[in-house]
Amino acid sequence: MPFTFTMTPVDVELLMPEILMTGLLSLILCLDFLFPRIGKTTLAWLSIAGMGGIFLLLAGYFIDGRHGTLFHEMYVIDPMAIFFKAFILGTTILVFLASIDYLKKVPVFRGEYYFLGLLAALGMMLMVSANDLLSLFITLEFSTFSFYILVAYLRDDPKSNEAGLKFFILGVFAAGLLAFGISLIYGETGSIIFTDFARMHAHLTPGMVIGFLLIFVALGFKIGAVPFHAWVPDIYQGAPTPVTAFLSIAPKAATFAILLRIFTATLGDIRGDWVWLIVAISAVSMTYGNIVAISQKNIKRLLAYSGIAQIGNVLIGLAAASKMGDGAILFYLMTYLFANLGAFTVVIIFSNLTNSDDLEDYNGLSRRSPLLAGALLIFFLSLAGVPPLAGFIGKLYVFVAAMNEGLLALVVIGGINIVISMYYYLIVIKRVYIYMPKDNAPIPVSFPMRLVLITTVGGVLLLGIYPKAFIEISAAAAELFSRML
Amino acid sequence: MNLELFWNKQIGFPLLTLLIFLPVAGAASLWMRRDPRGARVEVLILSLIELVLSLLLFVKFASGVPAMQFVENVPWIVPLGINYHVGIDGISLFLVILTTLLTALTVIYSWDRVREHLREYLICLLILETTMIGVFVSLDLILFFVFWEVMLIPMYFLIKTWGSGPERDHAALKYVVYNLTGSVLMLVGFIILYLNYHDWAVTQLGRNPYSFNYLHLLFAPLPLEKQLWIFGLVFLGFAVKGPVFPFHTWLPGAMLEGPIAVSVMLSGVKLGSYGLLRFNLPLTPEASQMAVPLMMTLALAGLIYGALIALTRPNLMAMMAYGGISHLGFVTIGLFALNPIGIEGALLQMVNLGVAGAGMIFILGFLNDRRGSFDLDEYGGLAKRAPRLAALSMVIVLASLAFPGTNVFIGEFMVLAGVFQVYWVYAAIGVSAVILGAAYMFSMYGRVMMGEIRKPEVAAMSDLNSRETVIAFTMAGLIVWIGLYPIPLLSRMEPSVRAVVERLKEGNVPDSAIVRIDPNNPHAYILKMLADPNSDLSQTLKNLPEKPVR
Repeated sequence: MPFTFTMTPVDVELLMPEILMTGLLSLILCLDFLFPRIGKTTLAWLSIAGMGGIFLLLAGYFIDGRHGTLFHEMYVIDPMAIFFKAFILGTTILVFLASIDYLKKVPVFRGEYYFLGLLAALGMMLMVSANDLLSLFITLEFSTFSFYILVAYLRDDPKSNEAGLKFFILGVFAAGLLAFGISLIYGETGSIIFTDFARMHAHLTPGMVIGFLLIFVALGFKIGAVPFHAWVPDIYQGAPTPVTAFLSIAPKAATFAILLRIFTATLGDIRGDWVWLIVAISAVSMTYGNIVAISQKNIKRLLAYSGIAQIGNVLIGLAAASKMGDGAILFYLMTYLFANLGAFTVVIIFSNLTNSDDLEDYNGLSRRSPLLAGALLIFFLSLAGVPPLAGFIGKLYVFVAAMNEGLLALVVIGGINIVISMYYYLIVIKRVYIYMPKDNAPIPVSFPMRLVLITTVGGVLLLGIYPKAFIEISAAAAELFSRML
Repeated sequence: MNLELFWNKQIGFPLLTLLIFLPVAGAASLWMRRDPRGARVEVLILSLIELVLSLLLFVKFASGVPAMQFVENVPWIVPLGINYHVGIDGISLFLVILTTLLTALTVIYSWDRVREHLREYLICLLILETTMIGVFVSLDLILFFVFWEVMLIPMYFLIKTWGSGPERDHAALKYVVYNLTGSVLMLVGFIILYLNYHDWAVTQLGRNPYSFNYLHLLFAPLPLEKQLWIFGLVFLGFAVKGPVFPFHTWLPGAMLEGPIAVSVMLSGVKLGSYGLLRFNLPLTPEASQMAVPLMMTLALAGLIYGALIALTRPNLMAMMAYGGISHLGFVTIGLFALNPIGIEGALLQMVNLGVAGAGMIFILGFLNDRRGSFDLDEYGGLAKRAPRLAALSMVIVLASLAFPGTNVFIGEFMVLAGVFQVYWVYAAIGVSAVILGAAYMFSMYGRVMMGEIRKPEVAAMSDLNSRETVIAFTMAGLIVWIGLYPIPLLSRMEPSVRAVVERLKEGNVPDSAIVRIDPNNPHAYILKMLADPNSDLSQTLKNLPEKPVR
């Protein structure tokens, strides 16, 4: 097939968010090395402002319902992609805000941090629009590459270096599996475009089964579902905490965009053939993550395991593979964004002062900073799924979607997991509220941090108490996405 | 049961919303307060306002109709069919009043006893009050679940922070884990119910296909198999909270280790049995009928087991905890008699045992404050030192063992009468448990109050002060009043109970021959029937006699 490269003005308009993002990160990079005396905090605020503008542009696109495909169907813009792009930008903005204080402690390369963060965000924005296996591979590697550097950012800290190396090896391994899977599928079908597979309604040949399984394993690494989760705790613990927060949300959400495209849109017709796989992985992820989280002594590891369990919960929605399930996934990811990022923000603020992530040091936090303790309480209760917070509505939504497809057993397992998770969240809350602190020094919360906390607490409360608008957004994104293909 | 009287028809302001959220608003305003005395006064005034508001419900309540009253219905999460929908009927009315009364008395009780973290303690109490009232008045299953779950948080902190026992950490966590397990299973049951309604509504109504509205859910027919699932799952939630034997193991721990406030609420506010009556019986009528033998067995086992254990415990609080489990068995056998007198007796008994049980706990609190122990052997001959305490606690003890003239006697009589109609063996076993109850209550009273004073500490104990007298006198007064003149309660309860019994008779499986009318548009059905010349309604109209029959 001769490849012709054409770009109409409409295409440029569709690509405008990514083009602007590229411009923004080039600007940040140039400013950083052309004017070394410029404050790094200024760079941070500049990137945040730029991303805020692009976020608004995306919101406009979403409301207009723009959609289209580019480059011979390699690349797709639809409400689902726009939703995820906005989601990733929102995450990046909050992570940057939460990084400002943290970076003041890092001696060198502070400007590059923001550049790399923007680069990773751009990679993920491209990734959620990937509409064939090749663009999936390229964009996935693009976004992961920046993370390799970000994870190993603290070059004097052996733990950070170790985490970077581990992440790199596992990431490359996953990339190998992905490439192998793609080659098998191409060999069997002669196509790499998602929509082609859907149109073919082909029955699965053994080669395709192996191919899709390999792709699923590679994506399983990215979302950290059991049994591909082994890297998660070590890397969460070793990486700089703002990077951990970033890593725990944005790449997972972007990968879910791909999973939705592959599973519900492309392979939706043969749901019966793969649903058991997702059900099993979902059940095992929830149960394993929650049980292992109980015995953790380090809050970052605790959040890593709770994150594995949360991903299991999102997979419940994927197992439903219905419009409602898709909407539930999008909504659940929003609740997860606010609660998880909020919890990590508390960890960042705390470790900035104390240089410790040990749970023991959280004893008596409520006496040192009622704000932090209250925020942590709300985030943990939301993660556990206590009403009327965001997590409860999210869990209810995925449960209803799954029950609609007859997955009673999975919902019961999910329900029991709420109980298990409540146990370890309560243990932390007990430390925070009831134990006496060793050190009574109050913990100051700076303005950017306060901003992140207010946004995330507000998000958790809003999504819990008045989720109507957000459910409608998720449902609209899922609805149009399903119709498009 | 499906009628709704809206608040603006009955009273000039949204009374139920005020009742639910006033305590939370008060809790929020407490954050600002620094002085403990001001906080106490503020909370006392708040809880008294709550009590007055709930009594206003009693006054304005329209008796004689099974309708939901003071209804408020505002859309909340429209895409999922969740509304802010509250209302009360004869089933929930007195439980709401009991909740506000017990909260007010608990605030009075805690007046000078809680000194550490006073502000947080009062906040927990107020949030607890909100959630308990919310549970009783919610007519939307998710709203109900929200209150049901949030309740665990203040309870956890109350047991954990202000508990007196050494094992309170463990007890608090056990409380949360047990109740959370029960309630997530209940949620699964609710979701099955919700999706069943959806399937039915899509074919029958063609609109409004999602709803968690209790009144809507009553309309959708349920196949028997689904009913059994839902009954089982929802029952587990309520059985743990109840607690129904054998799901009771968290209760003694929570009561022994927790503060008096927790014990008062756990033994006074019968949330689990309310849930059974509100949800299990009407929503799954056929399954409830099938479950009668199992339920009776569990309830009677709890009745006998609780009483036997209570007989052997040398600890006052443990005795009351197991006594509470035994009492709950009585409520449950009454409910599953499934006839008007049994259910009404059970409902009355929830209130009566709430009063008597909470009263006993307050008495134990008074004793423990003076003597620092729940151990039976530490007391003896107290009546000589504290005649007022002895007299008022006598009334409460008599009520607990269903002495004629007290409120519990009436409830127990009705329950047994109802159960006799079903199967005399159940009632006979129930009666034998009454004797066991009398045995442990009398032996307890005798060992604490009667005999010679053996310990010098007892000789130094003082009688009730004025605050304590108010509490004990209120409880004793209620016991005697309901015991002698229960008509105001029964007349308000009866229509709602009858509606539940009707519902149980009609059944709810798809092929039962009941006419189902769209709850949102009852006229459409009648018009359709009139248009069809062969319909029952048209035939009936045709055959109507010339003169109306009187």
